[in-house]
Amino acid sequence: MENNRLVQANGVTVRAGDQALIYNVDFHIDTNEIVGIAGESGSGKSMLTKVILNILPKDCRQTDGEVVVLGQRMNGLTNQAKDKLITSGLGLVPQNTVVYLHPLIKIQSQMIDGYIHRKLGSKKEAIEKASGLLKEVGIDDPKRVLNSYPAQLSGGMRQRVNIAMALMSDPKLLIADEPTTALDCVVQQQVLDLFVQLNQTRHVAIIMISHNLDLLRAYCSRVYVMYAGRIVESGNADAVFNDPKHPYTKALLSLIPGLEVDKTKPLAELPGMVPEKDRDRTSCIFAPRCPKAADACGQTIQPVDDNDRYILCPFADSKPKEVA
Amino acid sequence: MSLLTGEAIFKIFMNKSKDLFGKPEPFKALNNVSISIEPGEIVGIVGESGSGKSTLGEILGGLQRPSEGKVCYQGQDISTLTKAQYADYRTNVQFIFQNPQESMDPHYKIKSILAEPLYVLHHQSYDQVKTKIETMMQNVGLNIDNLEKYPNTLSGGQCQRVAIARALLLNPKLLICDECVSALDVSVQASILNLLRKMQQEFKTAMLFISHDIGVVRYICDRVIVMKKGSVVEQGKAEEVVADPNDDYTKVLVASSTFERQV
Repeated sequence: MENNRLVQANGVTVRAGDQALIYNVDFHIDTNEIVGIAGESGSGKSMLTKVILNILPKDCRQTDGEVVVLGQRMNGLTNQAKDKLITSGLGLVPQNTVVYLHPLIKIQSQMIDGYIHRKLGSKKEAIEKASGLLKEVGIDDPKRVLNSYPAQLSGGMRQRVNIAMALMSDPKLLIADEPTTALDCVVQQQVLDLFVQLNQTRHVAIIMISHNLDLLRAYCSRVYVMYAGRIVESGNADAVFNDPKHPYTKALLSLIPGLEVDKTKPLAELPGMVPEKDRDRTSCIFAPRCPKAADACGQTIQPVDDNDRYILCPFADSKPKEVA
Repeated sequence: MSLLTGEAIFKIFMNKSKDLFGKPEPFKALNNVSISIEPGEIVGIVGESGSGKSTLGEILGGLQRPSEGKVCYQGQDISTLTKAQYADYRTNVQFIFQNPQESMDPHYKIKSILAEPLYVLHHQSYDQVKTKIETMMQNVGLNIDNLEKYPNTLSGGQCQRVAIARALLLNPKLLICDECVSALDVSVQASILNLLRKMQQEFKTAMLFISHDIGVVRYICDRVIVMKKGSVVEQGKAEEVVADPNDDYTKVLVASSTFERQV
């Protein structure tokens, strides 16, 4: 394994009872990368990060596969050792800026609590670090923010506080779960630019989860497309979005009304629902909704996997589109 | 005659004062906004959060009162309507909200949710409107079995279809859609947008489409109004405003809806 690999997940399966939520997922991220995970709600994007962060809900358990975080196998570790490893190396930026911060505790206490708990330094150092980080994420008057309650800050400010809080332990990897969904588009752009800036200045790797494909196309170097708990396509962001091979990726890209779409025609539709059951089937998971489904989709699917491109479709080939 | 007009609408909220005895601070949510909607027209309102677009929708729909200015339905000020006229206005202006599950009573079955407005406004019992409800369910692409279910057993997209069916059952002249596709997945969003278009062509319903997604607004709307901090900064035909924005703020909005390659 390469030294710069931060997280490696091989064949991870998570089940709630007998039902598979995510099945046979391979995932990896290296230092200084920004990697995107795309997919609709219920596709298991957040579940994958919960496996990495060891915060699976009580009724879910990892039944297969192994996760290696910062060079250490998670399977053999005690819970305490896992927590220590994760809190020191990984940071989480949540989606919902309102629920994540405690409404009755001042920002200062919320930011420094973890730092002091992990005995990384004194309270004074913690406060200094917190105000330095707030400055770094673009808050001009950290003193006022530290002494505020979450309700006194705007959504964009709260998300910046969340990012600063995730950076308190100098993580090597930030996991941003739909970090801008709750923000409007102008603030969204500012927060995304902040992520890029942190990636460049602090060399922190970022896993960015989003359902917005345009966003991932612009900000990520590699992307994974998830559907019903499976990774159906992955690869270089440009390659995946400019030349999608899997029918699901193609469908997702055609569904968004861009600024050039023909107003007189109805939008393309993707009928049906994301399947909840039998996600661990070996035949194609997307076949019931796929416009090109054929007999081969009912058999065991051999994924195409070369040149960093992974496609879970019997009709796909990894050759790049020929430019006419 | 315009279907619904808002003339010089102001809406001022009084914020609580910072200290105990201080004066409450006024906050202008809407500042001299005028708008008119013609029959069968789809008008979009875009703007960032806090720009007053939802407040405007609620005032036009009669859910809030303007601090100043008036709302006219078919030429008549809604504050002067008689009881019967007001019921007519209520029937003809319907809402679709952002979160479909929260806009329905969790203790009601879908069939009761759909029959309730007809009962309240037209005094029709469920048996009288059963066929009407079933046809509408098919129109919005839902299975009739769903009538016996509760809202929490349906998905977000299905619930939004129920909300659209509920609004359209009254044959409204105007549908106010407040961020009605924002909470949905892209695949569901596309089918709901197609449904709204189909319904608009079939029933000639006018729509006030409130959204922060300029791509969606451009696709579905004839005319678009751009709002910032409670004022209208630009309006015009949807394609023209998006293709060639005049106002600086509109330019920011259009630019931020597409992302430039960063890495």
